[in-house]
Amino acid sequence: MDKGIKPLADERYFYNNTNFGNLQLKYVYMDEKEEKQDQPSNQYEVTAMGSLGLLALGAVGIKAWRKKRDEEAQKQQEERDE
Amino acid sequence: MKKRKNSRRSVMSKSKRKVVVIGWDAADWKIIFPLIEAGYMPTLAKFLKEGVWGKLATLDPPMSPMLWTSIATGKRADKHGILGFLEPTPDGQAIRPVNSTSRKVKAIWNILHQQGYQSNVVGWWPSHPAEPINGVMVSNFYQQFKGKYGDPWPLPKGTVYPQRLEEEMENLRVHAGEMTEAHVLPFVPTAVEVDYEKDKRLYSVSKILAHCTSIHAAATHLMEHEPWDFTAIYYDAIDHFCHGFMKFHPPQLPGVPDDLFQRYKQVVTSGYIYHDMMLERLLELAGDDATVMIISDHGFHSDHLRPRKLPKEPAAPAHEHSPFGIFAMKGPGIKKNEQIFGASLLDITPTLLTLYDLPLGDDMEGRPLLQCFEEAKVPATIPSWEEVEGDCGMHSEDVQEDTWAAQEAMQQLIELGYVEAPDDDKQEAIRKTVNESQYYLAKTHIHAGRHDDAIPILETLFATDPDQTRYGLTLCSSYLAKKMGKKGKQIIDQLRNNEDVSEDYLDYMEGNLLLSSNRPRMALELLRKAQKNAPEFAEVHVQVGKALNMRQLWEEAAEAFKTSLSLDNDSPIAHHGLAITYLRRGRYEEAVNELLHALELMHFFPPAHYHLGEALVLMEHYEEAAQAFQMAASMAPGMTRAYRWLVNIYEEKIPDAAKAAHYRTIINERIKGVITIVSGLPRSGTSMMMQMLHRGGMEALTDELRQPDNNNPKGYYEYEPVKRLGKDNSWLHEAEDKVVKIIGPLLYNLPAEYEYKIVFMERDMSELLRSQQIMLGKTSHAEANAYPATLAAAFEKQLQQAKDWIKRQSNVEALFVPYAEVIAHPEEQAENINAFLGNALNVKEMALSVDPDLYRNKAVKS
Repeated sequence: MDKGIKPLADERYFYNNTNFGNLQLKYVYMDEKEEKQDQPSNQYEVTAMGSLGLLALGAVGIKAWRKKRDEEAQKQQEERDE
Repeated sequence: MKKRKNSRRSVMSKSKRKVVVIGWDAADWKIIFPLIEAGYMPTLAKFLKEGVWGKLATLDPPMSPMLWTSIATGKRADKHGILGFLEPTPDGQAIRPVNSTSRKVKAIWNILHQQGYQSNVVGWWPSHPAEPINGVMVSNFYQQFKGKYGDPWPLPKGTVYPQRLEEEMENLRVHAGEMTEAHVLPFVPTAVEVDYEKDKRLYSVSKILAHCTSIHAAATHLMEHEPWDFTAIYYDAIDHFCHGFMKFHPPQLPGVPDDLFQRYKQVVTSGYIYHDMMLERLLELAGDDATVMIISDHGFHSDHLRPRKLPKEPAAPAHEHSPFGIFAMKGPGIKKNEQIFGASLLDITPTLLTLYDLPLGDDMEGRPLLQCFEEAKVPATIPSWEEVEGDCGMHSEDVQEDTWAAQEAMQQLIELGYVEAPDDDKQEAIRKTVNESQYYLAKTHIHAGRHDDAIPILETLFATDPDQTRYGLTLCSSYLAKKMGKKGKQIIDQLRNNEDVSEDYLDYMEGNLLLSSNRPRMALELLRKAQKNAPEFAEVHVQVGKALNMRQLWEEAAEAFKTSLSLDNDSPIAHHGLAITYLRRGRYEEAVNELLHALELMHFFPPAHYHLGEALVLMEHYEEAAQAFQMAASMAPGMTRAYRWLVNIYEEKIPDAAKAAHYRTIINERIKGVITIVSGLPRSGTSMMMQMLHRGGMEALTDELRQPDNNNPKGYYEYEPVKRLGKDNSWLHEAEDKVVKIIGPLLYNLPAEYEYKIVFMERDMSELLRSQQIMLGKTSHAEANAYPATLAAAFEKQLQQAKDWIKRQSNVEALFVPYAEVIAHPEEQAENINAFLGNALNVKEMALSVDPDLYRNKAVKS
């Protein structure tokens, strides 16, 4: 678990999860001050696996994720074909 | 990918006001606040600082399609016509999920349509088929899917309006099969260890997530690309996560296996966190100039109140719902960082109309939440929006639905446990559906206080389906509310033969019946028994407390209320009861705290406002006390005690001649004075009661023309002009501050300008009739013992009419006193009567005046 991560008092939420989108990590592990400092970056990594952060963006996030996923799938297919 | 902050905010239509309503089914502050505290819902945390928030009281029955339609219409289900989850198809040959075509009244988007506003409505329950509104509607069938990911997944007909958007919308849907571990692991971190074939819960997480993501995708797309003045989005995921996984939510419930607890314990909280993430996007699209409202239709028990076992009945999961949902609103002109109290989901549509400066319909049952606005608003009204003619974007009557889509929606309801798989016998399935709808209609009437409308429905249901014990129990509670104790007792006796009904619950019900019949001692016996056997049942402690309060046993009563509150701290009745125990023991600050808590939970609670006023007067906070009495009086205009306090405060405590005169005028206009009346049917013990009150210290208005005789050896206490009350009431002023005997059927002739305190005598009908027969000289054994059934029925009717009349009068307070109880427990009854009449009588003397030897015509016990 990263430094500064604050588990809930009674359990460690998301302990095993490393696949959260960046947005989610920001939500789960930052207090208010940190959040404000971190706001300007607003960068979301789009991976073929997707993330809750991308889904939460709604239509644009879903489209971006599907595009990446399909590109990756095609790339893998091409590699296999080669 | 760069997050497109404000890059293309919502497309605006021409109107200035933009409003977004976000529906989170079953969202509950009890879960939210700890998450906010821990920093897991930062968007909502910020939202609350920028706006107002409070609890939102639900309606009964807490069935989501009924509730969301009440939210959107400002009307209860008897008016809006959505009565449960299912309904018969128009041809009467099958059943289907409730349909938008069954809504009988305009929703807010129909009203806005008529006023030229454009709306986006997404996923509202029920909204299929989508209505042809000015704007876009995506129905509640939109997110449903059948079969595997990759199979054909056509958009059901009627899902999207207008049709031009169908293709775009179709492609935005997300299927459960598309969800990856990146989506599921935040909910179930050990998902990789789950055997998918054996444990279907993981698929359920994916499905709920996919459904809600589809709705969110449609909503965000429309907010970004379609012009709108109003957007309403309904998310069902919190409710669905809770029904599936609240049993695994910490703390671990007894009986929940460790491995399942560990595996699924964070599903519910992750669901909330995901909603917070989606909220951020919605707020970004709405823009700072929009007013945004977040609401839920009910809460969800997340603590020790989680039911361990659900009853075997349709819609049983609704027992997991708690009575308070959430309300939060921010935007231009809305107060900031302030809690509001007393909101009900019937208030949402009136509040939305106020945001658009549109008039309220007089036929709407809620009120706008004006306390949310920075500047005072005085909304205009019209009789009804239903009378506003012209196209409103509702369906024409001939609209047909897509049966394929209906099957999917039906399957979803079955999986959630809201409905049973339909019977193979179609007619039986239809009969059950119709009965359920009728039951929900009756419950709707009850919640609105209309027991008269509920009783005939429940009587029919229980007569045709006596095995449905909930019909009987609900009917009994209506009888109880109407003080129809005898009928209530009959139902309880009938249910005692049914092994499915808990004996403790029936003891509780019977105890309540006795309490409403003013028999606290007998009530306590049964309630104590139920309390001992079912200590986890919060309501029984409340009733014990009430009975003890009636007997002025404040310490014991306080303990009972505290026990109840330790089980359910959200009971306004328990807080009020506890407050009274403090008030009567001189612990005013504690009383005020409890009353404020009660009012926070239920704002429309006139007795709590009144008692708050009393406590504040005793603490010498006269300004605040006056506010409390004003509120009590505005809610219950017949509560003259509140006006009397206001006069007292403005005459003596904080002198203000104008205000004192104002309230005195109100009292004088309404009330000339207080008259105490002893009433009942002839031979029900009215003369005995007159004697008791007289011995206790009250002056009786009597002319003594009728002399004592063998039938009434201690005198009749009558006053001749009473017989002509219907023609001449000019003598009534003589009865001010005295007690006068007026038999039940003459009560209707009492003019409204006096305040009446009626001690109403009740006696077993057979005893009463026998006593009358003997008095009329029918002394032969056969004559006196013959039971005149027709006469008895007529008297029963007269009695009920008199009771109904009493209930309708704002200037009448009544205490119903059983004759046999006075004979059996004269001191207890004397205490009750004394308390009712203001604690100024000599209870001992009252009790001593009762002569049990005069109880000569006892009912024969079979």
